[in-house]
Amino acid sequence: MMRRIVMFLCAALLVTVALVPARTVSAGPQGKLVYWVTADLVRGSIQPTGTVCVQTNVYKHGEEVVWRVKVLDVSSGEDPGDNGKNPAALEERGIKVTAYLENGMSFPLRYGKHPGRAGPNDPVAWFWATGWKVPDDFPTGRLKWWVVVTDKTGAFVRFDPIGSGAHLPAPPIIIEKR
Amino acid sequence: MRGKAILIAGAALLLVLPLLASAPGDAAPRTRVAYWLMADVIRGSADAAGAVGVQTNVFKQGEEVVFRARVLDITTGQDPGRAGQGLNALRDLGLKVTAYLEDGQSFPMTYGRHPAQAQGRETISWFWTASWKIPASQGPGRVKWWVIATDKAGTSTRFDPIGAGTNLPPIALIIEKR
Repeated sequence: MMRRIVMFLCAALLVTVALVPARTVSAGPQGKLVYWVTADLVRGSIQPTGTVCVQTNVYKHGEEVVWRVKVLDVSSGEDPGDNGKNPAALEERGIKVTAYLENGMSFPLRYGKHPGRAGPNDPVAWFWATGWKVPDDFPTGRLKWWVVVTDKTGAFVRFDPIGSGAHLPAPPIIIEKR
Repeated sequence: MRGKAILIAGAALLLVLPLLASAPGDAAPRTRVAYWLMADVIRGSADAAGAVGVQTNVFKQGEEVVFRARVLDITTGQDPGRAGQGLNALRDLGLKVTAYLEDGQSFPMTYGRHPAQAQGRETISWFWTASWKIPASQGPGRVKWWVIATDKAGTSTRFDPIGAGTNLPPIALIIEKR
């Protein structure tokens, strides 16, 4: 009887030891980051119910969610596209920037100058952007989002908004009835 | 006389050469990024004129601007504070995160868990925050903001909202009359 108990305890210990490291793996390094990615959301100009081009994560049906993403090379802190002067470098690197929604939708972002119709003396900034018009029949509620940057070398950098994973009002897109 | 001239020229060359050697080459990285720093602003709960805790850069006089920042080690992609488990590591690094306004005000940010009063098994997130209650007397208009993370090693990483340097609305806090 005693022998059986000892064997059972040993087996339980072996199983526990095997499980413990698996839980701590997620706390380890994810690998070297190649790009410093920052992203935000602003209200687009399609059927807006508030000020256009200001930051918000709350949208009414029919409004436009615009993702804006800045991708900098970690080794230099510089835009690989050199603020529009070197788009060829982006192609050579094969940089792709994509916004994802938790429902499976994805949106490729384009590198361009902003504002798009700047005057000759207006300062412009170059970054990645795309828009999504929220369909009128889209379910109301919260929708997680994130952005992924990849390149030809196999680099993969994911941006999640601050507070993602926690139940806070800010990280997800909040869709409301108009 | 000729010997003196050669001696002076030689000495001058010796002085200039080390300076030339230490000048950075064009191809060298200008700034090695130490931290993956990202930041945003949300509406705080004090005298809120709209939904609390959501992203916005448009505030009424008397409202509370909450700056949120996430600081990740650029080599590992991990939070040096290890989601609250590594507070000593943060102290050892001497990590300081500060939000700045263009009018000269600055707000030291504190590392903490959010939501602060999580219930039961609610998931939480750890990041840096600071808040600024806009005085009722603050004139309406735009105020640029940015965040800087520094550490004991002397590194300094600055986050500017996407589009900095342009006149795009999201780069500044837009303060309106209540």
